[in-house]
Amino acid sequence: MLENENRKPKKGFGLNTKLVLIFILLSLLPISLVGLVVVSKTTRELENEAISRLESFSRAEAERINLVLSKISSSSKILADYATEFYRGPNYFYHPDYWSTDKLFQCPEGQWGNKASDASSVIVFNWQPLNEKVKYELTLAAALDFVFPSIKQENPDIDNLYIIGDKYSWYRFYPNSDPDPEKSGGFATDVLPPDLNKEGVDPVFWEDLDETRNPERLTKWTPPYLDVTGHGLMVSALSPVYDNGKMVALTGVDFTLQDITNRVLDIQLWKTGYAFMIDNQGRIISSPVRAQPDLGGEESVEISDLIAAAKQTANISLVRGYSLLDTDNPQLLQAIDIMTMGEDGLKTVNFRGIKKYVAFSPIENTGWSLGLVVPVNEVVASALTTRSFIFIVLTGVTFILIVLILFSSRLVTKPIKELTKGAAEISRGNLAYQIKIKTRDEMEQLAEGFNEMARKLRAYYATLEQKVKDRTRELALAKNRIEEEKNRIEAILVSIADGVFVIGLDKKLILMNPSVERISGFNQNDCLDKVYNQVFKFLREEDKKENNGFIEQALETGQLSVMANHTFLVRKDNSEMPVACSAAAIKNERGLTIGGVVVFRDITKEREMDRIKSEFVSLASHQLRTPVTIIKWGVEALLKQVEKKMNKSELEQMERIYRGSDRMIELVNDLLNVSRLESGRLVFKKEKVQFEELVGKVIDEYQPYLEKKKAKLVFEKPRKPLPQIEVDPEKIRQVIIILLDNALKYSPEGKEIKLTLGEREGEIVYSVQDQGVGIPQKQQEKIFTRFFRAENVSQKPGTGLGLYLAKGLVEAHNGKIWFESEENKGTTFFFTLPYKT
Amino acid sequence: MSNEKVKKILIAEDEPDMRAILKGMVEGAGYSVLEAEDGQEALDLAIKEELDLILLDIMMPKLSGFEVLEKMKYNPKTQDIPVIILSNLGQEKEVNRGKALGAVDYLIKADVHLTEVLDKIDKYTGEKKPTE
Repeated sequence: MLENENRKPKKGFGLNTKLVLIFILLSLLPISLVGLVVVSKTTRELENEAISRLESFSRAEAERINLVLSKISSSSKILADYATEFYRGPNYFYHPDYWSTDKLFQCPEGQWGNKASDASSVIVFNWQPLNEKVKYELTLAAALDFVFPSIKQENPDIDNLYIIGDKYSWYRFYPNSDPDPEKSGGFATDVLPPDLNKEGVDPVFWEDLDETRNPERLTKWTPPYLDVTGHGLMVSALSPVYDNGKMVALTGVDFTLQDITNRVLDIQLWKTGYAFMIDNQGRIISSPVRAQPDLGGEESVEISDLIAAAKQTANISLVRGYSLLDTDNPQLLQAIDIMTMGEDGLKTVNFRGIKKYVAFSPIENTGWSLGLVVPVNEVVASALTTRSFIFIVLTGVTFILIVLILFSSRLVTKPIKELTKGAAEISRGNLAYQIKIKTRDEMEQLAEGFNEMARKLRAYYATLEQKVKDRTRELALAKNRIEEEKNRIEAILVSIADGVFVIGLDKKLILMNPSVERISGFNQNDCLDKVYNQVFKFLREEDKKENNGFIEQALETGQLSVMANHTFLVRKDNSEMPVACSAAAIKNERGLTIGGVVVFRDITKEREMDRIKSEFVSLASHQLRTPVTIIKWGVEALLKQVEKKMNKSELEQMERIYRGSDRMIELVNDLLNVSRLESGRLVFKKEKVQFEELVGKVIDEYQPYLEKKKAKLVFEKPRKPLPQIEVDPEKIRQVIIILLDNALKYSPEGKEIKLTLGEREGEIVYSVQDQGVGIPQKQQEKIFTRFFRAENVSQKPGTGLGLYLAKGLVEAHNGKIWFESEENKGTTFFFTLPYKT
Repeated sequence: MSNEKVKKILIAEDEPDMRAILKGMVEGAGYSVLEAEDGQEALDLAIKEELDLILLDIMMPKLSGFEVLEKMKYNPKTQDIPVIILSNLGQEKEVNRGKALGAVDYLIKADVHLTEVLDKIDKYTGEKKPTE
């Protein structure tokens, strides 16, 4: 519970909130800056801005118009340059047969025409005679015929190209706009009509261009005029042609103002704003109908009407009869004055109570000026509207941004939330949970990684669970086994009649069974956790001194240490009790001693039994021996007295009785020995003995028997003296005699018996070899058992106890006894006695 | 037989047959024999008579052979009489006890021939040399 609380993240902004905050900060910062700039502007500033925009618009518009016009004027200049060249080198261009009569024809109106062979031009004359000078000049003009089309081709805005010479006395013109289709598109040479010449065109037209008025030889624009060709209002760009420092002709390029005026008419400014264009005398070149209330001209007429009138009267002044310099609006007049001076600027003009801005810019080289007229309130209102609009747009954008941010941040955080939820689910152990994210990006990969992890964990847990189950079952089984084992051991310990206690390496008592208390009187409280020798005192029987050596020995050597007898235990009530006890080391799986177990048994009753048994055996043997002895001695005494009087069969009979009594004595003796050996009551009085001497003595004693059987005894003594051994000589003597008896008994008369003494690996080896009947192979393994007699010796007297006794006696000396035998060849018995223990 | 006084041997044996055989054998060898049926009698005779040797059984009524030996030990008149224990009790502790109480020899009846007993008597009375 605590753990879970600790795991909860600290309260704070969620990822979503953080993202939203970051996005909003990032996006709203510039927006709000812009908004601040917009809002902070005063109305005055906004107005100024609008004005400057108006001015720059007017300048740009004027410049655009100028661009168109300047192309036209440069064409005029090019044409003039060509003409000047021709005047400079007339020989080259002059064709003498140009004026041959066959090429002249009479025009229907009484004019003369000329059909030139190299140019399809028509030269029309309406006066006579054609003097040489004019002829010459016209020839020069005709030489320009190949120049005209190429210039027009280059600049399609051009309407007509022409050259005028001799102060309007002649002109050559391209393309011919004659209604006659044969002449249309060609060149026309004409003499300007006098009215046009003098009045239709400004009187200063020619003079403005001559060497005194225009020493820089600039191209100049005519004021707008109505063209007879019917193209409406036109202007011409005129350039002087010089010969010998004197202007001799001028070239002109006609340009219909239609495009430009239309352009001006099309200009729309704010709601009711408009543009107009005037020439350097304040005459309107172009102005829309809606400008009429402001600029006057109520009497203005349609252009087509004007053209018709002009054609009728050939009076162009009708068209340009109204100049804005004549206006009765003083503020407008001020503006127009500046405009006609060719300067730019801005004026506020009150038009019938409505204040309007008039922005104007001159059109270069023409003396014309373009004016833009916009009501002041429209400009300001629009600026305010713009401001409001920007404000609204900004607000809208901000709102949309916030929505987008919210949405997109959710887009980002939703899978993260899902992921977080999934991770929490998985960590809670819900491994079946699968995170569903389909964003096709790293989030999806991450989620898939989580899912994969969960799946693997699940699979792993599945096997783990199985493993845990298996282990648990194994553990339970093992526990049961241990429990069973423990119960068994406890049952054994409880049921065992011997006292058992366990000590640790520190020699403290760990465990004891109930028999301990029963036997010793010490209960668990007296014992547990105490060093064992503070509780249990084992005494040696001989001197009643403490004897815990067997326990220490078991712990030190790890071997079983047995004290079968001769030990007393001091009981709790201080009485002494004979016990048989043993101690064994407890070892761990590595074989290291970790403690010891001591077992002891009350042998009071055993001792009593022993005593009774011992007395019984003594008594029984005594009682058995007495009658046999009487028989034996009786026969002996009888034989001594009447031996000589007895016949042979009587003697044999006596001897049989004697042998019978002897065998019975032997049997009793053997029984008595076996009984004593088995009951452990044989007392061994060990002393240091030189073994070869002991054997020698026995042989000496035995000599009579050997002689009696005519046996030959060979005794092989070792070359160097044997080590001394510590044995009970009487017991060993007995063993030697038993083996010798057997060898003698089971050998045919006169056969050799061989005794050998040797030494090997810490022990003395004794062997006695006969050449007797041997022991049957099948019965060899039973030879040392009690009362066993081999089949092939059953006829011979014997108790079947001799070898059994010999084995017991040898083993009591820690020696070994064995034999090698082959039937009918002989037997060799061996025994060993250790000289080092 | 020598001119010396006939040696006086006491046979202390409760078993009449055995005593009779022994008596016959010992007398046959030229000794004068006194008999005792039990330990008390044997002790009495040993004190009263000038004995040269006693053949002493162990298992006897009234006093056992060991008790007789013990008592003889504390009586200066008897303590020098050689005693051969002749018994069918032949376990080591009995043999040892007998020898400890001053018996010159301990013969187990069943294991010895009569001649061997006579040889021992001759030996301890100095009548005959065993080698003779």
